Amino acid sequence: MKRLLLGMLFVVMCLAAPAFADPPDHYPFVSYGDGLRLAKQQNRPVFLYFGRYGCGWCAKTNKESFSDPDIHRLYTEHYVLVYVDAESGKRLKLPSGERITEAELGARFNAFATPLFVFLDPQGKQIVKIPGYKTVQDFKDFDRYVNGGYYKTQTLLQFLGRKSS
Amino acid sequence: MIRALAVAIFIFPATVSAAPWQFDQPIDVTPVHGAKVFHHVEAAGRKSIAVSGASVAVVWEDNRDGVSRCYVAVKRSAESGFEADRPVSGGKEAFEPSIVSLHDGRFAVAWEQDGGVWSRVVSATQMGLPLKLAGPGSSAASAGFSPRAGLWIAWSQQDGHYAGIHAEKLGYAPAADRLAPGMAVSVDGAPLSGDQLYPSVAALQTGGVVIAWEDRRRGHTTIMYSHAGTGGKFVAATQMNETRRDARNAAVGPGTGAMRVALAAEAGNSVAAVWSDKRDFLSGYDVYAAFSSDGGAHFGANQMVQDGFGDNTPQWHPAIASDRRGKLAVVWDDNRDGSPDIWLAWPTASGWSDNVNVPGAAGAGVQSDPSIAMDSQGNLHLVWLEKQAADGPTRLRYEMGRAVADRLNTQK
Repeated sequence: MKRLLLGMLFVVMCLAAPAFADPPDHYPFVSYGDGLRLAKQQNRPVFLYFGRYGCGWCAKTNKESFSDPDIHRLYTEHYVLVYVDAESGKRLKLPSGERITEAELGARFNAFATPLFVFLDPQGKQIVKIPGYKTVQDFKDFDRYVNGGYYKTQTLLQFLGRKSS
Repeated sequence: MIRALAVAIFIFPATVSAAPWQFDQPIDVTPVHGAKVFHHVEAAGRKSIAVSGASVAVVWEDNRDGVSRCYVAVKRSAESGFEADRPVSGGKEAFEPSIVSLHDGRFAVAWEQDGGVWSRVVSATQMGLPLKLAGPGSSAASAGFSPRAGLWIAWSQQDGHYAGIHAEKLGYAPAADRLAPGMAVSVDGAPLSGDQLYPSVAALQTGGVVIAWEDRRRGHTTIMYSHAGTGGKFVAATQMNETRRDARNAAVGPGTGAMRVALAAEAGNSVAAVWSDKRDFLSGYDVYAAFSSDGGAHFGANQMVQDGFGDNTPQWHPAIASDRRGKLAVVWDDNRDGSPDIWLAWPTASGWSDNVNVPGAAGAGVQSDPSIAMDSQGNLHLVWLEKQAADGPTRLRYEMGRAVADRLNTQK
């Protein structure tokens, strides 16, 4: 019975997968609704990754930055990881009770570019929104800014400016 | 800021006064709203409003009783408001209703219900029996009708590994409330090599039918289309959106994105399309359009609909309507003025008009998710969502733009 269920699950995943873009391998990305619930439960910030089917800069980011073992460790330890395909009609539920699609979530975050990375606090409030391809060092800086709590007193630009000076 | 002021002071009065529609005050479509009620106007092809004879009908989904269901409300032109809304769907949950005029005071509605696709006839006073068109794995229904082409419903349906676009011509006798099943066909005869999603249907005055959809066969999302003549056999699919490679994205990924195409049948054998297009990938989705004058056999060069003042702002939810005599309008929402508003453009003798925000559907708060229809006099009927906060409850709003004579010269 268990094998049958697993088999059915595999088939469903195979059927469903092509409609959505791909998050980086080996990261425990969850849906937006699940991520917000987990963030509250665990009092951890959310790392929200907006991708798009066929997004070349997302693929480049996955290959060159998310493959780094330090990034993997920092982001899986410090954040609830959420991946959203900004063109997808996949449905999700917001904490307000509203049912929307992943594409609609992209519109509400004004996801003008992909990849788009958004850090949210454990209550789901936006900390910072960062568009475009980013390097390993960039992601390390973002982690220090958010996980170190610097976002409470300065903007990301201020933080990065002081870091380089 | 300075540029916004310049627009407000010098440009807007001119464009508003030149707009081919003068808008009435907005009204609610349904009195049902509140803290936990969320309306959705998101039909494939963005066909959530239609005009038939002296009736305007709006379809949407909301969660008033704790689950997603589809509703319809009808307004007769002699009345000042909409009549009480009625549920269209049954089952456990339903989504994304699409509506089309049947031209005799009736409408056809198609929607997703419990993973399948259903359709039925509605009017101001009657509601025909629902007809199930497709089973599990089916979604994103869209409808089109003309007296010569008949009633067509298209949807996306899981066919093994990928979803494909299916279409069915339903039997409909004028002045009847009953639909008769037809034969569902795959619109694209080629083996599926990527998902096909969110179709839109245009039934032509001359009897043909055009269907466009999102397509992922090329590794990124493109807009594809096909057409069938009166014989009902669809030709091989063709890509509608032009893909652009420049120094910024050369050799990075398979291509930029395009999504949520919407079609409008124009006069005779003509059809217009709009969609969201991310070819300028640094500024988000833009609204692009293309036209066909040969029944959907070919679509011409892509045209950017929004004006330069919207360049740095993503545009969302483009919708299109035509009166089948040459008048055409495109609406969408964007937040170039600081919060999402409904914006309007139309073809002119020198290209697309400047963009104007729709009075009553712009200003403080969020005005988004528009859908439009045009009646036989060229009046524009608009429905949209309004809310005071991005994640707040919604109101479903409607207003009519009355056609102003001699202000609409089209050139495509």
